[in-house]
Amino acid sequence: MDTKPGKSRYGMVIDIDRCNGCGACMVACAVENNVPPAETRATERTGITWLRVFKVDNGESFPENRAAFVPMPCQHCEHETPCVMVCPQNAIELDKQTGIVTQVPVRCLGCRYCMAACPYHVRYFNWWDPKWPQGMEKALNPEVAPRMRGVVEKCNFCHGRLQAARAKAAAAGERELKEGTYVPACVEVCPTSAITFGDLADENSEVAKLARDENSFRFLTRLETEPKVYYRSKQPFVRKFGESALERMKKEAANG
Amino acid sequence: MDKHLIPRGLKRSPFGRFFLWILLWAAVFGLGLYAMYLCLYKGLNQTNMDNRYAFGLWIYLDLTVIALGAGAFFTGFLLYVLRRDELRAVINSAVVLGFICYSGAIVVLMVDVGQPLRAWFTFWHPNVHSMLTEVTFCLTCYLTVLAIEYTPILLKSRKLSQIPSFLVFEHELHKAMIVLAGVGTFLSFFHQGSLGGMFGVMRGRPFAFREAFGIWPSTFFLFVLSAAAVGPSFIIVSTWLISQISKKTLVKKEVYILLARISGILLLIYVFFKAIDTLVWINSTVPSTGFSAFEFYVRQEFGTWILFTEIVLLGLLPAWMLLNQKRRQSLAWIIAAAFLTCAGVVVNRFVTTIQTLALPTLPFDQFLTYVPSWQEVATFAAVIAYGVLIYSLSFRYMKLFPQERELAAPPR
Amino acid sequence: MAKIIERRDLMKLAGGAAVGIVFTPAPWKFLDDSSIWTQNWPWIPKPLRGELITRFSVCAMCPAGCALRAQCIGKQPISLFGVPGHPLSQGTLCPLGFTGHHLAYHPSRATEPLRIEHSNDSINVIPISRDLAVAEIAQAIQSKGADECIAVIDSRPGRTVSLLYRQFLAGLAKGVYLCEPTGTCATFDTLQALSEKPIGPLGLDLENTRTLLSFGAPILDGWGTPGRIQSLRRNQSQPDAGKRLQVIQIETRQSRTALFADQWLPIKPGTEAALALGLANVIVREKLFDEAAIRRNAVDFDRSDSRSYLDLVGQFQPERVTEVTGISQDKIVSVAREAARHGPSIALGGGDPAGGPLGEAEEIAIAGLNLLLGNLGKSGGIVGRSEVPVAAEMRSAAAVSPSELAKIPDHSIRVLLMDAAESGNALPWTLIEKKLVSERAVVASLSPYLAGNARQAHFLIPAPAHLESLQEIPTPDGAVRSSFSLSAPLLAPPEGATDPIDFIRSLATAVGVPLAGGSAMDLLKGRASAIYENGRGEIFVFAENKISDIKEAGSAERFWDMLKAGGCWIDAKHEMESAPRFSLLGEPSQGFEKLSASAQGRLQASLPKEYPLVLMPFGWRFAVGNGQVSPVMSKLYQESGLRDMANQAFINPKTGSALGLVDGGQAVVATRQGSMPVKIQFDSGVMPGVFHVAVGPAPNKNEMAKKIDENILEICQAGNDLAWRVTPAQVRKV
Repeated sequence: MDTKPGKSRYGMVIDIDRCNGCGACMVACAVENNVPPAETRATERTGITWLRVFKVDNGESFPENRAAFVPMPCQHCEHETPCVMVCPQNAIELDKQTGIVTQVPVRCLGCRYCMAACPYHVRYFNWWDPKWPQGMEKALNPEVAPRMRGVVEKCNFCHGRLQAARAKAAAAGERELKEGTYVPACVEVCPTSAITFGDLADENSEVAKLARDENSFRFLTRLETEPKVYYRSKQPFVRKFGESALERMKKEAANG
Repeated sequence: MDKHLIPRGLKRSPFGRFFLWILLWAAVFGLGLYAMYLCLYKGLNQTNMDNRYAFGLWIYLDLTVIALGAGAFFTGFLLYVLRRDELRAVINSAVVLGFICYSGAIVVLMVDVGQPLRAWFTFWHPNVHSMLTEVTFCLTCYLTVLAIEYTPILLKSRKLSQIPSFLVFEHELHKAMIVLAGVGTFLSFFHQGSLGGMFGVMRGRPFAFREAFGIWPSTFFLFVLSAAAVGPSFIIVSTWLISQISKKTLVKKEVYILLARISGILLLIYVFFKAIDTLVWINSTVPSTGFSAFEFYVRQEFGTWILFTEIVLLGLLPAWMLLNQKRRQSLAWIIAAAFLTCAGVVVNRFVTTIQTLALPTLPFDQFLTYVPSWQEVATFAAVIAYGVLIYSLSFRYMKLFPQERELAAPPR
Repeated sequence: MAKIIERRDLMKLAGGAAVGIVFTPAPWKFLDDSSIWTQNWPWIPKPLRGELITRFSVCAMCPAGCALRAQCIGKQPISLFGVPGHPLSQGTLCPLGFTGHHLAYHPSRATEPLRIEHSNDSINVIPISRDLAVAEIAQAIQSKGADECIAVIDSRPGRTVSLLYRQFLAGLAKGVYLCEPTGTCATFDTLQALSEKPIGPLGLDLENTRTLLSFGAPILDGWGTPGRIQSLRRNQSQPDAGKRLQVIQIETRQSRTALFADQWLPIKPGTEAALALGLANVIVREKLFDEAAIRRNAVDFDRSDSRSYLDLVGQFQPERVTEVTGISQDKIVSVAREAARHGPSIALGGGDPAGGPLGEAEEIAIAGLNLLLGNLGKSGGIVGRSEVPVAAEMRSAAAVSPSELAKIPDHSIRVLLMDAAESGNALPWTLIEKKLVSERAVVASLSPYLAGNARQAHFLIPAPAHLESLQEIPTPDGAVRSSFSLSAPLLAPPEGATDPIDFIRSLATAVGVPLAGGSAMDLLKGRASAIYENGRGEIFVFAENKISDIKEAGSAERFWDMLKAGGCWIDAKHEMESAPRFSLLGEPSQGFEKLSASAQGRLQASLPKEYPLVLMPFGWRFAVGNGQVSPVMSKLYQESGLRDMANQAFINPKTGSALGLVDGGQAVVATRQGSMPVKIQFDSGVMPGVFHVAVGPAPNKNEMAKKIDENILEICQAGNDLAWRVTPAQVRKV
């Protein structure tokens, strides 16, 4: 996790207490990245949602039951990124300049090894050819190429927007991207501003400060994948999800 | 009707009966071909795999047949490098089985991937960190080696051996056999190991993840050992099966006993290391990932009974059976033990692929189930049918078992 | 000496070729090319190319009317975003709005008028010319019986076309103008009805509210303008107690609002009136209200005939109310005290978008609570706003007043027109069907989509789809200042689409009713002119993120152009006239009895043995089946389960197991009205004895399909006030 000058580590802090599960992020992501609508037979397990919002609850029964919503994009793991390590043809790369884990759908063979390797289940396979209702393909975003069936795809922090921001900065004669000029679609549309995005390598950025907050945690840290998506919550039952299963079991045993 | 093609001195069933046998298996093969066509034409939505069960029946099948087909490399190694000449009795059959297993596995892999036309990308953009790159390279090379090893068997068939240039070619090839066997062993060692390594490196799957020696997780070595152990057992089982179907004695009993002994020793070594590995996994590897090994077994479908079955019932027990000098004089005993050994490897590959994917990783995930679709099962059946067809043709028209003629001749 | 080519030669050739070809570039090039083909198969769509331009419009999908900024390639919008700095929509849209530009391509979208034939539970559509459709409808109007009426259902009243409908109906004998018995404005409508004189349009000054008692309103998830509500959520976590908003959600289901409210009161189904009156009881008893003001303004607060409001609330002591509602006595008392002491406080009714209105008695009780809390016309309370001026040419003609669907006699409607615009709330067809004269009724829908109630019609004369035509955007629900903006078209409508204004004009001509002249554009321009002439208010220009006084536009023409290019007129704050006198009991003769009866709750305390559970439908505003949602919304529905697909039934695990149901399995729901298959999902957040069935879309399902889909609302039981929220039901496993 060392930060070299000139290199960025783009990451997110998602405030679970603010997320109200509206789904705007999921929808904006699909529009931005030309993710096709579900095929008639697609289900939760065969659909493509680069960003998926899960509903989690505290396990209590009525009326103490409480739920929360957890958006899960690709976590852009930094350490021995599981998917990067296993792709047989280097169709996945951890970009050293930005920390973004990019996917090359045109090189993907569709072996799905990366999907088996990912512990966060944030990789999605095109089980069908993408199909839009007639005419709707005119509304596709020209910055992002539609994929074909048989390949894996996933969140790439709206890499096209990074390119666009860089082009804009270059045109203005700037060398660096100012904070806030590059935001993924989900961050832009969240009505409660639950997602903070930025360069974790910049200690003074909003996202870096929030990541250091005591209420922030990450999922599956014991697997040592070093994800760059942090989560925040003041609710203990939510923060518990950041603990490993072992820790939770020990705590439950201690509490009797 | 095809008497002129059957090797001299061997009896084979009447052509009509053989034809019906071929027809039956060709029908199964045809159905499987249709299933494969559907998957290639319509896409992988024809299967019941999904984003959580990215690997299904086919990957499981691939790992299993490659493990069983290891008999080919191992027997070749024992015969040509370690000079156990008794195994000349089964080497041809082993090579054909190996060829069937590997070529079948590769065909299934081509259907399993989303974009088979891009399969060659692995050679052009290889990833040195990926076990699957290694598997691809080795499998392809090894299939080539197997094809080359199969060629002499083919060339020695009755009609083809009449062509002088082929005879010369085959003779020269035979000189290189030791090199081929060595290369084959080396390649096979690596891809057997890499198939295990594929799952052992996945730090995102604590159930499958293992400690590494150098760059190879322990499953790499365990898979090699188990493949070496099951190889001879599979030769035993297959030879016996074929002799039952053809109603002929194909090899001398000493060959069975030798194979049983080799299998037993290797199986015992394997079980020993597997036990150590499992203990290390339960007590050290899994807790370091923040999980508890026993939470992997809380579901009834995959309870601790499966661990017990794999290591004790289908590991330690057949090892003891195979090494029991007195009892293994009985053919029935050997066959039973060999079946159990094969079953053990089948369970081990199942646990590695299917159970790994069933278990949740995220704290709010669930345990998932998967049942293959008919297209997947039909493709699986097609591989078996393909194997039966190739083997049947090889058995009928080539000298697979050198000892058969001797064993078939009536005593004077 | 010709050489005979033998089989062996051919085989050698073949063998040699097979080996030799490997040494040519052919197979390698083929290998390379084939993988490039896999990237470019003809069925993979290619996005449009071109320069990206920004255009502005306003979302017309629901009454919130959020401003939007469209990124377009040429004429084609490819993505929509909010307009930063907009005082009303505050820079955001909702998930449905973000995908509004897809609706023109929805599979169920109709591009020409259709005749719809019904047989059993399937439909058959036949293209028909507009003139023929209009002629047949006109014929039905002219041949109606003396007792029969012609009705229009307008789900978004207040627009120019709404006035046109009312003027059209005024020209007919027995024309009835109906708004939906909608949820969102029910509290306002009730206050209007209780007031002695008209008090004008109302809004909620939520920005200054400190306690919000929401009786099942989806305030934090699909109410009002999303951007406004989300900034209110920040008020919930204000460190300054003086500025903090406390949301108390009173709802049986643990909706998203209930989850994010500061307090959730899981009330027993159908007992909202009892709770409202119970809270009133505490406030009155502990004298936490301005008694002098109430005595002055309420006609029935205290009377000598023991049927006054005081007598009514006297019956609803916490000891009794806790039995009925399931909320503890302490909680009832503490909530009442908080509402009274930590004001300004508002009590809001309305109900769930698919669950429907709370009911008449409930809304009267809630209105009474508001009057007790003294928030009418005050900061942080229910405030008045101005009437938006109407186009000059439309002012003089007579117009019928709105009627309530519940109040018109059964089997009295001969011809029904259903306007295109959606309110976002459900309206069960069974309630409408009851009011139609059975066999000879003629129903025409103007919806652009063959979905929901439109499928029950006989004619579909489709309006242009979203973003295809110039639409009027009246003041959003709940806003405190009146506003007006235009949804400018970003796409071209198909030839066969008909603007409702043009349709009603054709129909009026066909039946001989004179209507104010002018096309849709002319009438809207007229209204804009009227607003400009009025000289009040400001205009916010989207592109410049700037507010300026309306006079700075310079002329009505320029004002119109500013609106069309992306602008919003916002009126100045309106001071409500002096507090009117009102009735707390509603009807003078029966109000007391009706409200007293609500002590038992809507289900009258006990359920019949055959139907021991309570069925409560629910949904997400605008996704309850009448309008349409983009096919991409499948991300939230079938591809993730984040939002609930139609006919999913949520039941408490204990209740479910006791009935032998399987989590994730199929079951059948039965009520007195019928039965329907559902999919069961166990949910620990559900009250035992209750089950919630989702009403929703099935995005990307081809709805031109023949079969009429089953909708749980069809088997819900509606009371006399047409509330269908709670229905005794049974769930059986399949």
